[in-house]
Amino acid sequence: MSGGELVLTDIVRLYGGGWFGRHAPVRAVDGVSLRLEPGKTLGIVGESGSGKSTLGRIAAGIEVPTSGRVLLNGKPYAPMGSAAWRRERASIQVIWQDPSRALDPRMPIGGQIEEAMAAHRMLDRAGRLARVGELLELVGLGGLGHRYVHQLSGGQQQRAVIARALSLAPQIVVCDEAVSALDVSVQAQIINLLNDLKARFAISYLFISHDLGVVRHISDSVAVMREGRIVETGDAQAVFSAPRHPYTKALLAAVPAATPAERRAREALSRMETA
Amino acid sequence: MLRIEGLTVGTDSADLVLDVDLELAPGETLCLVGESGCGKSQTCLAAMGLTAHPVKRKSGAVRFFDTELTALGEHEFSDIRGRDLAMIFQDASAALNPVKRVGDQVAEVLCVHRGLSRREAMARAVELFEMVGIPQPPRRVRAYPHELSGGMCQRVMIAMALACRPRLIIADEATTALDVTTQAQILRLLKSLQAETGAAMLFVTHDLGVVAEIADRVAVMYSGRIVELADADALFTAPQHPYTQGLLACRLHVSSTAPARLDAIEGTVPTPASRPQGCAFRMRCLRASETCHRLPALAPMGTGQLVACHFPGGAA
Amino acid sequence: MRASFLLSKVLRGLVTLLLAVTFAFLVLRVSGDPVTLMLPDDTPPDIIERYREIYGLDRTLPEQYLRYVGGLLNGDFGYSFRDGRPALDVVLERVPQTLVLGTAGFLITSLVGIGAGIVAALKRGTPVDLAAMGFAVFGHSMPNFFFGIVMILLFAMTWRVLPSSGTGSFAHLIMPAVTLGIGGAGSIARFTRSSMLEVLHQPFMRTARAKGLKPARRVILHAVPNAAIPVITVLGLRLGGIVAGAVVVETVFAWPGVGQLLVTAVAQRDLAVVQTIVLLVALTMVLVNFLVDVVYGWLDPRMARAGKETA
Repeated sequence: MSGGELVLTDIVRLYGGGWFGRHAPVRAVDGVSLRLEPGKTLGIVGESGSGKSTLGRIAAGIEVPTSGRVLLNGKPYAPMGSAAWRRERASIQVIWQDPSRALDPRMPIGGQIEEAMAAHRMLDRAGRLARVGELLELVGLGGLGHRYVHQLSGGQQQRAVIARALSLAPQIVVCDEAVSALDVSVQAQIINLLNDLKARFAISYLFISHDLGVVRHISDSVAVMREGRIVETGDAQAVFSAPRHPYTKALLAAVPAATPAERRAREALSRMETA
Repeated sequence: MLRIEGLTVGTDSADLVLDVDLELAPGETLCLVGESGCGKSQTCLAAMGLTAHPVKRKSGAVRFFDTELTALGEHEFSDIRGRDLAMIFQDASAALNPVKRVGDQVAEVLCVHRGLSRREAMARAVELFEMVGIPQPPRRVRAYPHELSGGMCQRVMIAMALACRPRLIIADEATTALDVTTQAQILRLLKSLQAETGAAMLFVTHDLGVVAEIADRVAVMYSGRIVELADADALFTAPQHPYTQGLLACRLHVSSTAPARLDAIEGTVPTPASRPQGCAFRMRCLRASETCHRLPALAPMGTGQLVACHFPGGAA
Repeated sequence: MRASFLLSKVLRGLVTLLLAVTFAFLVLRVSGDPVTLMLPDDTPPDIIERYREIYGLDRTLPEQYLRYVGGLLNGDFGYSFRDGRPALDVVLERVPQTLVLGTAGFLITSLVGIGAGIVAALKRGTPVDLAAMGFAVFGHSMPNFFFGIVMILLFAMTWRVLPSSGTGSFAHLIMPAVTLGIGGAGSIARFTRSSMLEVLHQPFMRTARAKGLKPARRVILHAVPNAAIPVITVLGLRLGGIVAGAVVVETVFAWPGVGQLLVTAVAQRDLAVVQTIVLLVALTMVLVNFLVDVVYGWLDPRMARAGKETA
């Protein structure tokens, strides 16, 4: 099984526009074309208002673009809300920023994972329960299936969400700021987990984040978004070590230094440049 | 000029801050670093006397210049807050009164502490807005918080905090909710204002990058205690405590390539209620042994750092 | 955007008025024959028929309705069966008294209610809080006529400090106003308390404290303006309760206002008067609701504006 391929062509998403076009509509996404290759991770970075989250939702098929096309493995998404669309959901899962809101507070997490599989009519009850156990082990929550959301830490909650997403054997997983709300040490754990799962199950990731460091580490290729458009794309290492577009350069320059020594070096450099 | 000794803060059922000692000299920036639940915010709130029920200061002294803050009544403390001591909060849009104009909120500090008339205070507010880099100050002064972006609101908070030229600024995750470009601007602004006024700054953050940008000294907190206290340079080049080392190892910085598999610290931070005896980090520490059941004291190392560990040092 | 907003409100108001009047119209005619009630029991049938004709009650219901609405649009509100005067005059001459009573009652509801609510919120968990909330439950659940009668028994009969009924002086106003206001005060107090508690825990209150503002200033200038917003809306709606309460209170205290008039007019099937009162009350409610919307938009700056300026 290889990961899914996602192709976005000329995606435009407009909001608002007043009556009879009185106000100019908000161009959340303004002509974006992307390709997510099977088994790879495409990172999307941008600041708030760049449209990356909207793009993520469109890519995942849970929001309809104003114009443009999304092809999952060569086929467009079924009309939203239809039975076919609901079945498609198993192939492309989304992981959001706040795991405590993605999980039902009144159900143990094991039950929620089983419910997801049952909704897609996978296996039989015994088979599902066994799979739940396997998945929990896989994400590092072995034996914790009986716990409720509030009994888990942030990192554990996100693992539960990942397990639930995995249970449907998706080909593509869209991560929208999936590690942004987690502590740094936990972020590292979850990133390791995501990479392990990608290698094992050949999942393609669309990783959306404002955190450049995380994106650099986890992505194969990256796209930089600004005000609804992509300003630069390419191999992740190449873009971050040798950015071409001024905006990308500005973004990188704004990232805090890694050490005080680096900061002093930067300051010295800018003093020399302005002198 | 700020000395915190033996500060313990908590609720009836659990302690959130345990026996914290900190010192700050004028003009210095001390960063308080830690992950969620380590007690860094509560330490600051307790220092300013802002703890809210059910959390309370259980013991410890907070000395600000010659005044013992813990001995002050609410009334006397209010005189000092906002005037000599100021705090900048994390989510500025929520930290501003939604039904009052931002200019009024800044001017209020001046009216209350400096006795300025409303007109004088508003004029000064316009100046402050200019100083913190808000464009079109005379117009923006009449805006409401919901009309401003997060970055703007944060600048308003800074203007409000600096209005009376306080000697100490406490910033609690002041840039966490901001975009990276806005964060860079705000940090630069804070540093320049600090240089101008000679104020000391206590900056709480979980982001080691921010620490690298602004800190003179760093205090690392874990589960309510300070585990390492060092100059910024020393902390980054030669961290001593296993937790600090772990934090630095699992950082993902855009300018460097980390190993494909990150050196994550296994396990999770214990909740205050389930804090282990002795060193709180021992459950996750690779060097832990029987000795670690005894709480390590914060002791000086040869390099001028203070570390609370029985087995400090070693390779990061 | 503003104009259409107002227009839709006005239209809605008109529809409400029409519905209210239609309802009263139908109920009155269907529930009993006004003519037989008005005339002595032994009146011969043909005289009854003649009266019916005079008042237009011999026509079909739809026809009567159309004539009535047509009359309204011409400013003709019909005539009172009792004394033959125009219904509008009969009603309007009673309005000032009800206005006085209603205003006094409303003031009590708002001032006592809000005051108790704020105090209870500030002293949460203390005996003061419990007392205030106990009082709120009491005011809310006590039937107003019973309360009124008890007050009369105590203050007028037993202790003889206040007059038991009628109008004429400020002393006459006290008991009816309190009786009218107490029910609303209870629920307003509870609502104010919860609104205050919610506001007190907001981050900006901590900022206010961090700025070095004294507690009184924080509460009055920062907390209350925020807490007041939802309370104002509820207060506006409470006006309906004042109107309904006025009917009972005026009857208990023989206060010569519109409420008392309504009770007698309904009993006598004085159709035109009842319909006019219903129309008047509906109009008042529509106006009050509209006013509440406007005040809300004025109090909460977040409602007035739409867009956000960017950094």
